[in-house]
Amino acid sequence: MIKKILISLLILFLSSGIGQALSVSIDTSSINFGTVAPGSWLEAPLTRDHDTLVVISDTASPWQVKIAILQPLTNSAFPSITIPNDSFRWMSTYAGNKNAPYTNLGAGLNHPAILGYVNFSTIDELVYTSGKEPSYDDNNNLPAGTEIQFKWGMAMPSTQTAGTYTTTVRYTVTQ
Amino acid sequence: MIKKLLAGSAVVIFLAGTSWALSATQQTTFTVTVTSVFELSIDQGVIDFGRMRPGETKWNIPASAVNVVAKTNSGKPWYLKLSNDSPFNSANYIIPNSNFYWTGWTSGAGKWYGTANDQMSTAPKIVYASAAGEENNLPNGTGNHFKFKLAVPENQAPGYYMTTVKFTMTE
Repeated sequence: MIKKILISLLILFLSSGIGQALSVSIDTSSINFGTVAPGSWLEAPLTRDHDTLVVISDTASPWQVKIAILQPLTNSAFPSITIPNDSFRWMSTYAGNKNAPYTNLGAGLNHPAILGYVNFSTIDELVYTSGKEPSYDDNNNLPAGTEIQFKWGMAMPSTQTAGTYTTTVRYTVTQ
Repeated sequence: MIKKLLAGSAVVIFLAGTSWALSATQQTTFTVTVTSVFELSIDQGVIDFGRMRPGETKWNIPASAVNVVAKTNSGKPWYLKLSNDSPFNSANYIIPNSNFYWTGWTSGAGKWYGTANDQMSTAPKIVYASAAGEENNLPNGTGNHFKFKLAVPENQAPGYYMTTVKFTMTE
């Protein structure tokens, strides 16, 4: 009897772990705004329409994408000089199914493009929630996943010190 | 014994279930380069002392002063220097720099080196040194204001005399 219980426990553990997969990928790991004068406005990417994040989930549970900046854009020569986070902005321009029939999943965007740019924050900001589109449930979106397209904006302060600034943006998917 | 095992297994299964929240991350590095601004501007390019007799002196020319604005975002200390290319001259005649003076004041927070009656020199002389915080003074810059004094020697030959005064901003 005890052996049966232990075997059934082992099976339960295995069944709770096998097959769950959640992945996120971005089509560019480095984005350069180029050279800009103080007081300018500019957008990226410069040579294409958008950057694309793809999330693949094989589980029928909702998942969320969040975005955060790890630290303000920091001057490489003067680390104490930064570009304020409210000058660096993101916009989620589109969300859609990458599987046929390529359903528009804009209902899942927390800040659809019509709301414009959102200031970056070091606190995770919700970008997308799966399963919001009535005509297509993308909680499980195998094989191709769900894509979210981004644009980036920079309102360079008119008083910004010259130099090269860098930062890292983090995308987190949880389920 | 069996009851204990079942209770224990329920706890273990519950904990196992809550610990299976999945998470994945990706990162992108962003870079932007801000251009360097290092500019000097003046609001009056020509200053005319008008007609003067030998032995005459004119002060405070021009009346509204020349406004010299320095702008930078380099993050480094900077200096403003003043000189003229050559003394006032007309054909083969000159009015020595010992007869040409400058004065003025600053709107900045840095050090003004003027003493109210400084002689012009062909060697650049420091007029102003930026203060802490003026290494980046965008968008308005730092203004320095200049007036000039000319004393025509009593034996000066007649003529149309000119000189070029140069303001130089350096780090």
